[in-house]
Amino acid sequence: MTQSIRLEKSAHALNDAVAADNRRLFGKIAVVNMISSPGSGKTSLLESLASRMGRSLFVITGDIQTQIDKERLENAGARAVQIETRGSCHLTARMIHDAAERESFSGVRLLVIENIGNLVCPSSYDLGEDEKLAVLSVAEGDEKPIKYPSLFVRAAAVVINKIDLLPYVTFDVDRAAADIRKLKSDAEILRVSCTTGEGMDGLAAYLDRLIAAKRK
Amino acid sequence: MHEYAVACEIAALVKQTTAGARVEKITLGVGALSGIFTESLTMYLELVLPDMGMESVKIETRDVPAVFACDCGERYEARSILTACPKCGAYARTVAAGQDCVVESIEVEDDPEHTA
Repeated sequence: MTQSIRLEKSAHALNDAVAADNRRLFGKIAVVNMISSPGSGKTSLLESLASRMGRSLFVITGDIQTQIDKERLENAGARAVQIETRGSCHLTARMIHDAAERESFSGVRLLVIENIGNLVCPSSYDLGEDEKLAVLSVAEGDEKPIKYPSLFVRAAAVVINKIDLLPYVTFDVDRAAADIRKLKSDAEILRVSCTTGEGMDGLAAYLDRLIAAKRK
Repeated sequence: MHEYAVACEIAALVKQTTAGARVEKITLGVGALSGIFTESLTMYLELVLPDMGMESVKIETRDVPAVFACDCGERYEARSILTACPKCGAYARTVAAGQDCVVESIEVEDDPEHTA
């Protein structure tokens, strides 16, 4: 005899349950899941934010290997832990839970989870964040949002980074922005260069609004 | 791209749900926008399930089309996420279906102690 069980649960159901635990653990701290391709400047953006926020910025940074990012972020003034996935192309809620439960978040205003550089896999894993923040650099090409919609349809905000390079590349910022809005009409688009500092005030203000909204 | 990881998640979910009963069939709904390549997911499930003590499980997959819900109230199916609303022409819409990979149902052998 065969018995049929109607389940109708996401393949990510177990991950999502841990993500819900993470949300309880993080409480009123604003949490951002930062996702981009490799080399878009995630760590450099976070170094720049660290110089403003110091130890009120906590970063859980993921890489396939090395502790380089943790060291960079600590040298810039933030608190940081490194997850080395040893091959996995994305972070999971369990990895964040295991890394976070040993830490104290006293005095932390913003927790950024710096995901593995990858525009595909990380976008489907809820880590317990409030928002996904996509980073796209002008050195990558303006067609990336429509080529990799799974991230851009979910990201509440998109940083277009390295705008200081615009004179040297063919990246059409307006086209990229229009495509991002087609995928998510209310996406916040922030034009930034963490090298020159242009647009960093806008990014910091955006994050401050997120922090304030979470504290209410 | 990450079908191996998804196969492991599905296997763990099925194992937890069925609590040791013999699993005969798993039915999956694979969303058009889930980013999951069905053939690859099935291949990995065939590798992962036996490792977790679930042998000879039939895997059935169903393609779930993408459905968009426009701010104007229209709901429409489309193959591409860059399809404007056929009624008002806007892109202001949310994805109502087709973004997930869902374990729809599991068939297990009835426990003989229960049927006796």
